[in-house]
Amino acid sequence: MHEFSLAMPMRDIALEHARAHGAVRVSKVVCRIGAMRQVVPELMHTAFEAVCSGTLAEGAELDIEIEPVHVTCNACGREAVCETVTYECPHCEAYEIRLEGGTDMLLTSISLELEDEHGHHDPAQRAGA
Amino acid sequence: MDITILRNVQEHNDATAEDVRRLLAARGICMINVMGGAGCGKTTLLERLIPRLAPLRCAVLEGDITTVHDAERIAGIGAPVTQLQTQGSCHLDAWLVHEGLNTLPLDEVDVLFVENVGNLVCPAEFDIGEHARLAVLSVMEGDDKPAKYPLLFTRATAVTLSKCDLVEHTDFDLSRAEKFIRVVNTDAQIIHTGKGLPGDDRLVEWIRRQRDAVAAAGASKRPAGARNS
Repeated sequence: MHEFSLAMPMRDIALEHARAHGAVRVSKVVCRIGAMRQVVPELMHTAFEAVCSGTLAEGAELDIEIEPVHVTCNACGREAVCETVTYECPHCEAYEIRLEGGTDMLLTSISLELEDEHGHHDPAQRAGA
Repeated sequence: MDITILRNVQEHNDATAEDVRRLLAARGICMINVMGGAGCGKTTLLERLIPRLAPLRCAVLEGDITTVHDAERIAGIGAPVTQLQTQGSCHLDAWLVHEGLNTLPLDEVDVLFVENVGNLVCPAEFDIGEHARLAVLSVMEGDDKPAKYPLLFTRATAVTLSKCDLVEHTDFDLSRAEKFIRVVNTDAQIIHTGKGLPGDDRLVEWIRRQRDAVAAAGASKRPAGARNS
């Protein structure tokens, strides 16, 4: 349910950079979301598509990278890196584990198109250049 | 053209939350973000605790999707309260809380409780400017809830297992719940509360300590605020 509240600022940061570069379109947004953050990727894609509608980011591809959570087992002493939250040690299946990290919510990069579909620079960008 | 950005998606919310935290700390007000599932006893807990916190003066911001029922209950014990209706949203954010502050008599408040929307998922994701987070899990729920909804428990300053006066009527395993909480949070104080139980006193003491810490930090900052160094 909170995916919309995250998709909106994601769109706004992308549009801010798009305007600063005089881009005609945002074609891709890459974000890094921690495994602990309870974000459902399918819902995030739906929310992102909806909030980008009618903006320079309409139709932009959303690439979600998962920041893994670090598992330390107090029973066997081994460590692991998991892309989903676990409550068992992946090595020995003990419950005596510690979970750390996996709480990122970052917009890592965007891809911009600086020309329109006919290969012309956007007039506004030329004027600003 | 690819551009590396590396920006916190929640930067605007977090900046507003920081403003709220500073504004309240400057007045010696401690904000406690109370989070837990629907029906876990958050409002009941506040009704029991607020009278016992006297002489500390408490106020409440009540977060709900709709209705003013919870605010009416808090008003019934004489504490200043404002109902924040999220109109469908599953959580409070820093802007809504910031607006809510304007409706309260802040000069007459020492502890501000913000009762978040009843939900174990979304409220945990948003900093609202609190100084401490109190997670509430009732023994009427599953003892594996901390495993299913880890973020809320990861970020809690304290966890209260509520309605413990009813635990013998349930299959809730207190030690199993605590074990799950400890997987993601080794520091949070875990307090068993319930009608007539001594845990309520421990929770009152915990709240007093949170408020003392905010007031002390505010006091230590005041000389520095004179900027004569």
